[in-house]
Amino acid sequence: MEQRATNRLIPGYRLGLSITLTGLSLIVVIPFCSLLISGIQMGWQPFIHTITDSRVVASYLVSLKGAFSAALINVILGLVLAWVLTFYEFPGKKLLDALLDLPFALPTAVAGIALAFLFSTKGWLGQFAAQFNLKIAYTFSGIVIAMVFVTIPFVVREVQPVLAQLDETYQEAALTLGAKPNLIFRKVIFPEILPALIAGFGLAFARSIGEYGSIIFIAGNQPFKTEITPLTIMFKLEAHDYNGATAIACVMLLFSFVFIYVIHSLQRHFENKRLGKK
Amino acid sequence: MYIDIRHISKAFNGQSALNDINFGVQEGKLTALLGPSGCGKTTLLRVLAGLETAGSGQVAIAGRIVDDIKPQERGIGFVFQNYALFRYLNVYDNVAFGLKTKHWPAAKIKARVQELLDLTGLSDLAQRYPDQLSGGQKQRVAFVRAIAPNPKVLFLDEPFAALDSQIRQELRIWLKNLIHQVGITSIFVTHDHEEAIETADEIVVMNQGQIQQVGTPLEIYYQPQNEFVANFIGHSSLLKNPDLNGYDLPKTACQVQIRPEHVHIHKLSKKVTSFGQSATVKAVQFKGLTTNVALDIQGQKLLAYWDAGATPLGIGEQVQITIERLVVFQNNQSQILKAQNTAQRQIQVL
Amino acid sequence: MKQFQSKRIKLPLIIIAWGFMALLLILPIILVISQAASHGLGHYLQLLANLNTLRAFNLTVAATVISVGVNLILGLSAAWIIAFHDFPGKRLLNTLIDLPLSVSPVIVGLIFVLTFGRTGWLAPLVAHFNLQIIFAPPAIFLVTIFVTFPFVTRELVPVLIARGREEEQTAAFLGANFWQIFTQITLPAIKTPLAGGLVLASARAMGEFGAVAVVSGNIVGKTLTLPLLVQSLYNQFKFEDAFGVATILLASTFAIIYLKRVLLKNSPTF
Repeated sequence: MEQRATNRLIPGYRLGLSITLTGLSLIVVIPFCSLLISGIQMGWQPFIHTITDSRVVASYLVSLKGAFSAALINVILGLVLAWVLTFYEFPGKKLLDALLDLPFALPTAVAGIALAFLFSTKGWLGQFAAQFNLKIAYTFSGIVIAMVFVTIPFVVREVQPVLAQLDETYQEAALTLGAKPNLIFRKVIFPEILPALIAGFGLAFARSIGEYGSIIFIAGNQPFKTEITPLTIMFKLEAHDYNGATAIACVMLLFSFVFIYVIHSLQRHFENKRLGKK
Repeated sequence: MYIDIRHISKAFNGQSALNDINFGVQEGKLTALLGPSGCGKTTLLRVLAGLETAGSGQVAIAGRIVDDIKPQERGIGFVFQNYALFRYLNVYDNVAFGLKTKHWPAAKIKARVQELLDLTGLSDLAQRYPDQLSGGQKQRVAFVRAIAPNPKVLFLDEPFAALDSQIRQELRIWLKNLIHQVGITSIFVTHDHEEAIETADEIVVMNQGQIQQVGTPLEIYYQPQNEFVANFIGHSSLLKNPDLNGYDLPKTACQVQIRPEHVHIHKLSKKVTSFGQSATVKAVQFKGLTTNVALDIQGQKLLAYWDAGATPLGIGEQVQITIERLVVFQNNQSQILKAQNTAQRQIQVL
Repeated sequence: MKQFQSKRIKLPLIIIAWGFMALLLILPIILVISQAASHGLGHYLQLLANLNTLRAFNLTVAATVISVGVNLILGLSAAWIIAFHDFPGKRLLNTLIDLPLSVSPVIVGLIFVLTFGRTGWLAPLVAHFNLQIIFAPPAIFLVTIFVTFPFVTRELVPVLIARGREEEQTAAFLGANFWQIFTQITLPAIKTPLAGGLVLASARAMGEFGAVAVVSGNIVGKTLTLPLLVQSLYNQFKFEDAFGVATILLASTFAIIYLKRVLLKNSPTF
């Protein structure tokens, strides 16, 4: 319900709104309009042609497969990390918790070169893997590792507060009925953390799809094999093919929005189900 | 009228929240807006304060129509339900805040704040921060802060709701006395009828966005104008078409309100002849000073009191009752009736 | 939780957690430091004192300061109206503020090139005023502001909403103007989350790579930020120099994590 101008008790509405709208227009809205204009100007045929080009389609697949694998790995390891940090006392617990902030705070380029070096065939971990005939850097596995690195915190930080809030008495009530830890996890804890896991998966997936800096050093960037979609856009830009870059960017954005919407709906669905059960 | 409210209506998303509200508040009086939750009383207060806009109607404060005047320029002191003390200012600075914004000279601010803190017994707490105060102290500070800049009117939203019952009792009397001492015209919102009756000079009873009755606590209590007011204020029984000895009740459909204190119970004994009305004791609840008794009369429930010191009443016991006074509601009109025959009211002892 | 405290469950889980973190997070840190040190302290100090390093450092600091400054004002304004005022289109505003979080950095760079670049629709305007935006520091500042846009607002809005509007409303009833309310009532209550939001914004600003890479033009000594300099040295196979420059960013990262943990103890966002 809109308030009449005379009825705004707290001052600063016009000032705040002007600054916010000006900033938002200059920084966000106008640049996005450029993308829209550019996309419309290029015409339907070239647009379709660009986004269905076999190399571009291959890059979608690399990005999607990589992001999906990374998000899945992080759901499992993230749950373990959140679990350990919530329920157990052990040496270095605080350090472990602080380390979880690293992937966000560390510049992606630094992460990128460090991971590439670490997993190259001469690197500390790459050497080790080579003994088993595994090549990590400059392969698809490298992409997944970089994606896992940058998205470690998402699942953990979503699940941690939920686990911490889990009602202790609720657990003990189930235990007195003779339930085993296994059963408690499946029937009591898992439904509680499912929405958080989905949210964490969604955030990790979305971030992985868009990630650029930490991946390009370790990916090898071979067309059809290890070229991620953001890199395809970068190549188009370097070739001054702005139309091509625009078209692929539109596809990525559209995908992101649809994906975020789906994740939100899923999260709400399981949240309702959880609340309904109680 | 110092505060004049005319034809105020307001709807939220098509649903009427306030429906043609009219009343006035005399200068220096303390008025309560009383009603169940969702009746529109808080919305009305917020409209008066300018926090919400009315769909139609007019509000005048101190002879000035304020509909197009900003809330902060209406001359209002407002106390929120949670008191909203400034957490990062101490008691002194909280009270002085409204004086500083009006650029009072420092010496005058000091004198005014000191005077008010002395008046309300808060002087010792001047350097404390809100976190270090009890609920009752917070309420006093919020009140003092609101009246410090001498507003024309004072609005309080559920001022006692956040307090526990003993402090609530104490603060009601404190607030009533102080408001009369300061002489500020005030309106407060409450859902508690006892609070309204004890504290207010005048009560506006509301339900479903409409005013049910406006009157002094005595009028509201003894002369309810409709069934809602009768039911909502104090304890009473509503009987449908009863047949009561000594009363000439309408033959057509009507409702009768009887307050428990107007019902006299007489034990049946050899010494007492039959008179009044016969009833059966259904339930008895010891309350300390009195005992609450639920009676069955002609198949309907009637509440009464019984002297705690007297011979106890047993469940199922047959008794005689006389009714001193009742209110009849018929066709949206109310009528007070007293027992016609004094004999009805007296215990006949053979 | 008692039923999960048995050693059979607890130990393997702790080992997995530590092992994972050690491999993926601790080893890279050690690697950066050891590689930077591999050519000796003298070489390292020379690298830090190198003109190109200093210029990149200055540009990164400038981008961080400017974007954090702009976000301080924008974030406070947006949080103020979202928390304290009702207006149509509030949900749309919220969505727009969060938008930069879900856009790939490369696309951020792209949209600014499309706006201000030679073929961009604002190109005539840029040319008219004889400005150089793309492939120059202004574009770096713009994209950095874009990617850090949501942080301050996202920290402040939940805090302000949880606190309620009543203190500000009471202050207004008592005749306070905007500045009095903001400085005396609101600011003391939000100092910590505000500082936390600014720390998060600086982290992102300092480390932004993809978006800056698109608009910078990679002119050594002119439009290279520290992350871009790291890339440039790495691509020239000057690995120990790349890692040397990376230690500057690593040190800032530690400072940021420390500040974040002090300021945003209870905040689940990061």
